[in-house]
Amino acid sequence: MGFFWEGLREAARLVVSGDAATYHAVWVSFFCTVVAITAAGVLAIPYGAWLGLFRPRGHRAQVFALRVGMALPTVVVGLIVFGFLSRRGLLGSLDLLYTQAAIIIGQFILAFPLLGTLAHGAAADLDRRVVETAITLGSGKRRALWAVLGEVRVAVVAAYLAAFGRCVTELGIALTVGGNLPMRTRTLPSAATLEVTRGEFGKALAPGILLLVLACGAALVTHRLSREARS
Amino acid sequence: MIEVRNLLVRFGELEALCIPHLDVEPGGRLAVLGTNGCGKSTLLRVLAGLLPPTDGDVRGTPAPGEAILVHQSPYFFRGTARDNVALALRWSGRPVGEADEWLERLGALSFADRAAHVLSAGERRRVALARAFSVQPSLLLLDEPLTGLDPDGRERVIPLLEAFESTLVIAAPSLDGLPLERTIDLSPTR
Repeated sequence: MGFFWEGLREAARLVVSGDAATYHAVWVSFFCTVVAITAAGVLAIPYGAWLGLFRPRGHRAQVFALRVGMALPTVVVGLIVFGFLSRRGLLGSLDLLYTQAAIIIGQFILAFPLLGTLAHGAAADLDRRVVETAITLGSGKRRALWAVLGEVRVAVVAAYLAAFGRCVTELGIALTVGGNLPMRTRTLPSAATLEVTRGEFGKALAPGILLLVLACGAALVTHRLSREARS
Repeated sequence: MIEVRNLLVRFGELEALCIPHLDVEPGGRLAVLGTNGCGKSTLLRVLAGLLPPTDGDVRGTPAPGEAILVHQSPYFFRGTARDNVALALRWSGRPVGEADEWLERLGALSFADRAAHVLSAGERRRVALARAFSVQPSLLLLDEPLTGLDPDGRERVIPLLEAFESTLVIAAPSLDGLPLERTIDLSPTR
């Protein structure tokens, strides 16, 4: 138990003293995740809602593909992105490996199926009168889609929270294509993992505590947005 | 002219609607009568272009936006009663400022600023009808339009229906004062 408290004290010292490496990892985690889920959401949420509402030809196969993507292990996503971005890969000339951009690409792939699947579920379960009313009033399919997204806004906010949680805590992509470079691509989970393998429990706990703070912050923002959306 | 030939709609094993022959003249007024579950609402959804038939032909129906369906239990988007009418006007390319005029005609102006979701059944019916009339469709499909309306509401709606110049199809359990000459009864016993 003393070992644990000692670790906690060391973690608190790092957090309070504003340790540059730790807070840079916070920034990398937050920045990469927000950019990835924002970009993924812009595409995946209308796409998923469109699949759920209009059930186009082949929509079952597309929904199945999204669900498979949702279950992808992060390390597999990391390996796929690595295959494309490594020097011998298709996109090797872009020189993106071991950069924050590489992490963002990986997290985009991670978030897209999750956001798409959740948007699909929300739209498919929606009262058919919503889309029928929009269409019959002459909205056209695109405006009907936006009207529907407005109606399922609480589910959309919840989908963003789920995507944030999945991306900000992932390790496989950050290690495989980020490289865990200090003050460059080190994220909170990769920092915590590294310190544990070094036997520095206190230094590992600090990123863990900050991850919890990030998660709580995201949940709080989501909670407020959901309440506003409901009202 | 709307022409329906050998129309069949199935939901899985259930035969929801079967109409061998039906014509509706431009500007015609048709009452679709029948018992609960006989397919009245299904026919309206088919005519509105929202439900493709399982078999048969439906010709001459206008495009969505020109054919307006008011559901038996109308749906409202987020916002006030006025917002909902204004949204329909915007989608149909009409001046949004006409919303109040239509709400007034249906006796709904006094609650135009209230959230549509909190309105009573009768109030919702008035707003839904104001929304439908405001876009002046070439085919108006109403599913039980008098349900939930008080005498004042009926007195406002019936003259509007009488004055409506385009094609009108109303589904209802009985005529019950509706200004329609032609009827089709979908009850299974007929």
